[in-house]
Amino acid sequence: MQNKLSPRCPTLLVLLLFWIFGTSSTQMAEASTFVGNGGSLLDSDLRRTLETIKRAVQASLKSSAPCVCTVASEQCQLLETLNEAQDNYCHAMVQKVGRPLLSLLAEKSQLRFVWTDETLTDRKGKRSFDAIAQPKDKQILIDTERFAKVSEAARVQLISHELLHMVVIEGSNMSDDGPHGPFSGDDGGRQLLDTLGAVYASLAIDQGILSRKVSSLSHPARSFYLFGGGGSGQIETALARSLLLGREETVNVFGGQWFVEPGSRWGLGLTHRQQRINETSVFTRSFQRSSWDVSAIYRLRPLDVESEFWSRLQWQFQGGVSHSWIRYSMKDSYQELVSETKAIGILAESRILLPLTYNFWVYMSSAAELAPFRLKEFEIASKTWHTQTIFGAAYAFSF
Amino acid sequence: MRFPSKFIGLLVILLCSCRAAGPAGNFGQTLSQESLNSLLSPAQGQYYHFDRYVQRMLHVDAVAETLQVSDALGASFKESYWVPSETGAYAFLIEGRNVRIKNQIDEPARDVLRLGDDLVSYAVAPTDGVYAWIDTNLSIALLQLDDQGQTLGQWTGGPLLPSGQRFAAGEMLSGGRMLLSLDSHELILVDCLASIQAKAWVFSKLSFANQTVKWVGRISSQPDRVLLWTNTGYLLYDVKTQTTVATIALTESQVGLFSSKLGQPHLGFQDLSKGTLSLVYPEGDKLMTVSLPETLGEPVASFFNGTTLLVQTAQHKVLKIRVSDALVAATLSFKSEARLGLGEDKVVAVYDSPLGYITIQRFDSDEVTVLKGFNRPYVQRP
Repeated sequence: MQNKLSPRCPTLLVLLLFWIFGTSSTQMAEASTFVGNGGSLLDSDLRRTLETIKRAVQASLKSSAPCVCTVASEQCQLLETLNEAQDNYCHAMVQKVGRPLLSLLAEKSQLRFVWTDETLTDRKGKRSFDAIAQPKDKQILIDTERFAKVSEAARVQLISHELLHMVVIEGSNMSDDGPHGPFSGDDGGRQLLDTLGAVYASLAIDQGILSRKVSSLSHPARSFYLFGGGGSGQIETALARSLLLGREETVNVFGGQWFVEPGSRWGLGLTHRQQRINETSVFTRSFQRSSWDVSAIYRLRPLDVESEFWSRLQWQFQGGVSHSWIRYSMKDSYQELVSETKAIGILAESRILLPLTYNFWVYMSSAAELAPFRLKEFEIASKTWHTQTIFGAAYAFSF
Repeated sequence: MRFPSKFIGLLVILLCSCRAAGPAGNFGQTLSQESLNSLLSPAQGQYYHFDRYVQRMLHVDAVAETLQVSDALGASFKESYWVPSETGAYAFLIEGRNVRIKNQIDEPARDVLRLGDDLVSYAVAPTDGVYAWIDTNLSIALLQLDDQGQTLGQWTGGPLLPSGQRFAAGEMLSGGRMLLSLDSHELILVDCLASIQAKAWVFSKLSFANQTVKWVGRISSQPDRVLLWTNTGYLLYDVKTQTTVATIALTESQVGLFSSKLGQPHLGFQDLSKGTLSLVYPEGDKLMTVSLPETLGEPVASFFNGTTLLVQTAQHKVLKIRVSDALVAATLSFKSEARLGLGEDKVVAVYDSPLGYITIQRFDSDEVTVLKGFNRPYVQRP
């Protein structure tokens, strides 16, 4: 049967492999249970953060001076401001909260992490936060956009801070309010939790769990994507025969995608495609299709692996409707015979994006489109699917 | 497909073949020309052209300004000639030394006769179904057909008469009569039907001045008269009375320049001493001579309807000349690659277009009828 999706399409094979390896991952299976709100593109980052905190806490219990910074980092700046009393208190608290924290992380299925794009504030609405812990509900609200933007060390500090709110010390949850040992003042508790978060982040860097360098590798959690690329397509055999052309068409695309939040899995895409087949032998035949399509997009990060690069690989599916302008012409030295028409169609596309740096991506996609049309003047009709394979680049950003 | 019955005259398809010119003499209609001007009856406005891209015959009706495209004929057809019959019920395929007939365009051609060498020209008696096919050795095959192209009689004769004379030039007249000039400077009138029956040349010798005839032109309005181009000049000759009705003698400085059977037969000569160009044509009992514009040069082809001469020049122009006063009434220009067919106040131009492109231009208006893209349903991916 002709005109079905090309079995030769390499993208499909790659997608299949990703699906097999991605879904067979234990960590992937874990994701759906402990991230309670159904998933965000940042879920795997959160899992990495939690895993980092766990290893940092374990390291902290073995450290003789966990609150002393050994490697320069943003978090170190906070630790360097501690006086001796605070340092000692910090050390004592590290030992005290370590095991409860590990227990909490071991039972993380009881925790709910909720992504939100709403600004998180205190009850009076006077102060905004990047995350808020709700110990009674065993729930942590995370500002999606902030989490997407900050470094991994900052995430460790942030989530550690919130997790510590879940830890019960001397009969009550640790709080931001009021003095806490040498951490005085109304927000002494907050200073202590920030300090402990900084301890875990610094230890993670010190232990090599986190890289010292801030990664410039492109991250998928962005709201907007601009892309462009080119490739080839295959039109149906009967159509090619009628057009007196080969089946292979060149394809150029550009477009944009919008996701409500940087971490949203669902989005909308607008794509312009320019497809063309030209042959000049004895006389010239030219088949052109210019289309715009609007699609719903679903994206995921199929590889939840150690490798930062592979963990950021993105897989997108999109399906939508297209509107095409079709022009076919035959030309020799004396005349040009032209037929034009329009078509409404549907399309499906699968796209794999590989991260470069500084928000740039390269991608490969396979698309199939069904847009029946009839060139009345030439009595040529198309009724079946045609396929495309595209290679391109993308730039992602969020405001 | 039945061939259009409205074709009164015979139309010759001129194909790409560049065959050698015919024998020294000139018999009927040569098959060796390359342009559309070889049509015997362009006044009917019917033109044929074999399109090499789609390997089909194109039939242009310049009167109705329509086009018909035949079924596929095959690539080898370009080496053939296509001669529609006057009834339109059949057509001849001339392939090398074979004369074949097609009753239907999509039916195989059937062999009718085979000559000893390649055919170079033919002649036909209007309305009589009598054809003469001439090969490079001046052998003449006589063929009598009914309206549907079925053979009623056939015989092939050599160019040598029992008395030792050889044929030099000729033309078919009405009633199955064929006028032949001999190398002995004599004229004979062959009875083709009787020759077919007798399987020998049946002819009568005509009384004629001792001249070498180079060219014979049949005058449709005067069935018994012919226009002759001889070594001494131009003659209007009556085969019935066996008399020369009118004569124009050429001086030493006057040389015959062109001849044409398109429309009415006509001839042209140049006076080298004066640099003038003149047209000669029969009118009643006279041979008329009119001057042509001196800038004309040697025509590539010409069509004459009695009052107006259309001349195709080497510069790919077609001039319409009013012969009464040599007025160039109009000029049409064409691209060099166009193959032109001259007709009654019209010029059909066939271009070497894969998609098909033909124009029909009139002298009396600037309007151009363009027939284009007609090959599109048949062209293949190269």
